[in-house]
Amino acid sequence: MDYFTSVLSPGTRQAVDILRAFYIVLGVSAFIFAVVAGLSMYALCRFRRREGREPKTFRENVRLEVLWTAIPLLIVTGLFVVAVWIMSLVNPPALGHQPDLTVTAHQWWWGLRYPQPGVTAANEIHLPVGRRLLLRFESGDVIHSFWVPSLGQKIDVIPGHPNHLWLTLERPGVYLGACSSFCGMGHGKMRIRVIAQSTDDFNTWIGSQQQPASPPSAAQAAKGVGVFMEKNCINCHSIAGLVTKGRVAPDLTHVASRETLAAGALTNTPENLSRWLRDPQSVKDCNMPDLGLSDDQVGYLVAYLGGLK
Amino acid sequence: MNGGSVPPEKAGTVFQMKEYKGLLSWLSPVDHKQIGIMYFITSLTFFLVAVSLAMIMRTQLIRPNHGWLSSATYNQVFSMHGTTMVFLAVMPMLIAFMIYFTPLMIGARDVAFPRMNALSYWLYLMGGLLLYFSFFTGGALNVGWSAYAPLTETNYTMSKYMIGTGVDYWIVGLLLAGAGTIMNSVNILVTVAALRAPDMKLSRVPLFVWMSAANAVLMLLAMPALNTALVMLFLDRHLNALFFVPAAGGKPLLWQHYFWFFGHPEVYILILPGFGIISEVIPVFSRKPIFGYAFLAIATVAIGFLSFGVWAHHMFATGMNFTVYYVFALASMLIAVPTGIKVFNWIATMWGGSISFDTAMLFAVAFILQFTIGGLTGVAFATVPIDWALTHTYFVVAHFHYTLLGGTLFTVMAGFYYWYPKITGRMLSEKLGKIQFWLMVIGFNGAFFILHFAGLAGMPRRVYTYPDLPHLASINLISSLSAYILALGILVFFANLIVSLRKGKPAGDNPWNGATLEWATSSPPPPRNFERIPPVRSITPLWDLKESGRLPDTLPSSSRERDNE
Repeated sequence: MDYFTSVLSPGTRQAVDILRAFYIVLGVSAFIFAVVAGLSMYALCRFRRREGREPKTFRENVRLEVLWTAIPLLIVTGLFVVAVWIMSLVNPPALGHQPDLTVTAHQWWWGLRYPQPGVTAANEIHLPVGRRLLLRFESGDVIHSFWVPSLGQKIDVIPGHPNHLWLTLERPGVYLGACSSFCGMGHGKMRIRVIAQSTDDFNTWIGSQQQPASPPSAAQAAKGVGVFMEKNCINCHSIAGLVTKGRVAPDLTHVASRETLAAGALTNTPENLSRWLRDPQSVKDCNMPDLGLSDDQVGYLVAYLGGLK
Repeated sequence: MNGGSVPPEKAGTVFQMKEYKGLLSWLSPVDHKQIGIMYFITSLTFFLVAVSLAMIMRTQLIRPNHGWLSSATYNQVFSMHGTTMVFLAVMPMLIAFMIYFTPLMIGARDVAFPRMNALSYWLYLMGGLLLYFSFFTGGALNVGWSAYAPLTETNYTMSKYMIGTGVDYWIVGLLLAGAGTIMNSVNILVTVAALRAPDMKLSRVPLFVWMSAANAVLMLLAMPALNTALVMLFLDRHLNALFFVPAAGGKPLLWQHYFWFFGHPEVYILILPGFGIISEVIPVFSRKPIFGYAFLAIATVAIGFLSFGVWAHHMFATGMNFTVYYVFALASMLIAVPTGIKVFNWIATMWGGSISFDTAMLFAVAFILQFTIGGLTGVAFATVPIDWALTHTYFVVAHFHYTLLGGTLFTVMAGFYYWYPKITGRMLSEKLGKIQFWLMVIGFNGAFFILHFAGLAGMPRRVYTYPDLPHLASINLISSLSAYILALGILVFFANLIVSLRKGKPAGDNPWNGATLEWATSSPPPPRNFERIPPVRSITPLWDLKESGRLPDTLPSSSRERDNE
C-alpha cells in the first residue's frame, strides 16, 4: 500500500487543483522576491559609502510610484482570479446533496457514519477511488479541523455549523492526516487515516462492516464480554449485536479490522491493545478512564476485542 | 545642542541623571522618556521569557515522539509564548519607541497626557504580572493565544489536569493591558495633533511619527473589539451567558469574528511602527532623504484602512459563504500593494545614496528581504484554496514568524542600534552588534524557512509531538538547532545592552548624522527635551541646518571612522 502524507503528493483531483494554484503563486512570489532582492543587493553594492562620492539628492518620482503601484495591482488581480477559479473547482456548495459519509469529530477521535449502506465506524476512513464523494463534517464538542494533506482542502469542524468537502480520489493508498485546529489535550494525537480503495475492495469492506459483531469464539473471549458489560464500557462504546447504547466513544463492532487504535496513536496489536486498556492516559490524553482492570481482565478483553474483525 | 557644554567623555548615562535617581522617581514617573525606558525594560524582560518558552517548544519538537514534555505542559508553553510575544513583548516594545520618540521627533516637551501615560504603563505591567501569576494557580492559558471558543468554556477547561483559571487570568490580564494600550493610542494621537513644533506641518512630520499615529488609530479601533470579546467570554464562563455555546444557540464563530476583527489590525499594529523605524534608519545610513515621503505616508493610511477589512482571511477554513471569501481575499491581496510601495520606496531611498553598513542598517536591509518573504506567503494565504491547504499548519507558523520576527523584531533591533545612543548616552558595541546580526540572520532563516516545508509535509501547528512521517524528523532537527543559534544572537543583544551602558563610547548629540529633531538635543535628552527647538523647514531639519552652516557637524557619522579614533 502506498502512503501519502504531503501536500506535494496530491491524491485527489481537488488536491491537484490546489497544488496548481500553489505553484502559480510560488512562481509569481519567486519572481517578485528576485526583483526585490536583486534591486536591494545591487543598491547595497553599487552605492556603498566611498570616499569622495556624494549621495544624490532626488526624493520623488511620480512615474515610478505609479509603476510600482500599478504592476502589483495587476499581479494581485490575476491571483484573485486564480483564487476564484480554483475555489469553484475544489469546493462548490453542497446544494442539498446527500453526503456519502458524515464525519463527527470528538475530543479526540473521529466518528464515521456511511448513511447509504448504514455503516458506523471510527477513525479509519475507507473511501472508493474514482467517484466524486461528498463528506459532511459535524462536531460533537469543540472546534476541530479535518486535514489530510494529500486530499487537498482542510475544513474546520465546528459545533452547530456543519461543513462539507468534495473529494475525488485518484489513487488507492493510505492517506495520513491529523486534526489541525487546536482542540485540547489530545490534539497532538488525533490522527486521521484515509484508506482509498478500488470500488470492489470498498464494497467488500462495506459488506464486512454491515455484519454485526462476531460472537466470542473461545472461553477467554466469552469472559471478555462479561468484563465489557461489567466495567461499564457499554456506557460509551457500542458493539452491534451486543449492546449499542454508547455514543460518546468509538464504535467497536469491527475494532479488530482497524490498523490503529486510539485515533492513530498505536498500531493495532494485542500488546498495544492491552497497554491501552491497562493505562489509556499513558498512550494519549483522552476521555477513556483508567478502568483499574486486573491482568486477567485485560487478557479477556483483548481476546474478545481482538476477535471483532 | 544642549549637551554642547559637557565634553562627551564626561557625559553620564541616563541612569546617572539626577532626575532619574532614586526608587521614588522610578515609581512615580511622568516624563515620557522615563516611562519609555520602563516600557523598554519591561517589554525586553517579557521578551526574554517568551524566547525561553520558544526554546522549550523547539526542544520538545527536536525529534518525533519526544517524551520530554506532556501535552498539559506544552499547551501552556505555546499559548503563553504567543500571548506574551504579542501583548507583553512586541507591542509594548513598539509602544516604548512610540512614546519615547514621538514627542522628541515633533519637538514637544512631553506627551499630551503624562499621567495617563504612566497609568498605561502600570496597567500593562500589572496585566502582565497577573497573566504570569496564573502559573501558580493551577495552570496558565492552555488553549492558544487566539483562544477559540468553545474550548475556552468552563466545561472544557475544567479537567483533572487544570482547574481552568488560566483562561480567567488571561482575560483579566489582557483587559488591563488592553485598557492601557487604548490610553497609549489616545496619548499619541493628541500629542501628534496638538504638540508639534511651530513650523512642523503634517507634511514635515517624520515618517516614524506618521506611522505611530496611524498605529494609534488602529489600536484605538481594534483593542475594544478584543476587550468586548474578553468580557463576553468572562460572562460565558462565570454567569452562563452562552454567547459562544452552540448547544444553547450561541455561535463559536462569533468569537473568531471578534477576535480577528481585533487580531488582524493587531498584525499591522505590530509592524507599522517597525515600518516607521525603517523609514528613519534607511535615509540616515544612506545619507539621502527618504524617497517618496508622501507615498509612504499615504500607503500607511491605506494599510490602516484595509486592515479593518481583512479579518475573515483567518477563517477561510471555517466553511463560510463564497461571497465572503471573495471580499476578504480581494481586500487581503490589495494590502500587498501599499506594502509593496513601501518596500520599493525604501530601495529607492538607498539608490544613489552613500550607504554605510552599521548594525542598524544591516538589520534594516535584512528586514526588507525577510519581510518580503513573509508578505509573499501572506499573498499565498489570501489565495483562498492555498489557505485551505496550508492554514493551521507549520507553513502558517513560518509565514507569521517571517513577518513578526524576521520583520518586526529586526526593525526593533535596527531601532535599538539607531536610538540606544540617544536614550542612554552611550553607543552600542558595533562589534557585538555584527556578531548578533549574523547569528540572528542565520538562526532565524534556518529555524523558520524550513518550517514552510514542515507544513507542506503534513505537520499541523500546536501539536506537542508528532509521528515520524517522511522528512519531519530532519526538518524539525534543523529548525531546533537553528533556533538555538537565534537565541544565542538574542543573548548577545542583551549582553550588548548591559555592557555598553558601562563600557560604550559616549554618543554625543548626533552620532549618526540623523536628520530629525531628536538628534538636536543632548544624549540622553534633558527632562524637558529641548532648550531651543530648531526651525523646521522640511522633513530633514538638521540636515537643512548643517547645509546652512548653523549646526556644526560635530561627530563623524560612520562607525568605521569612529572605531579608528
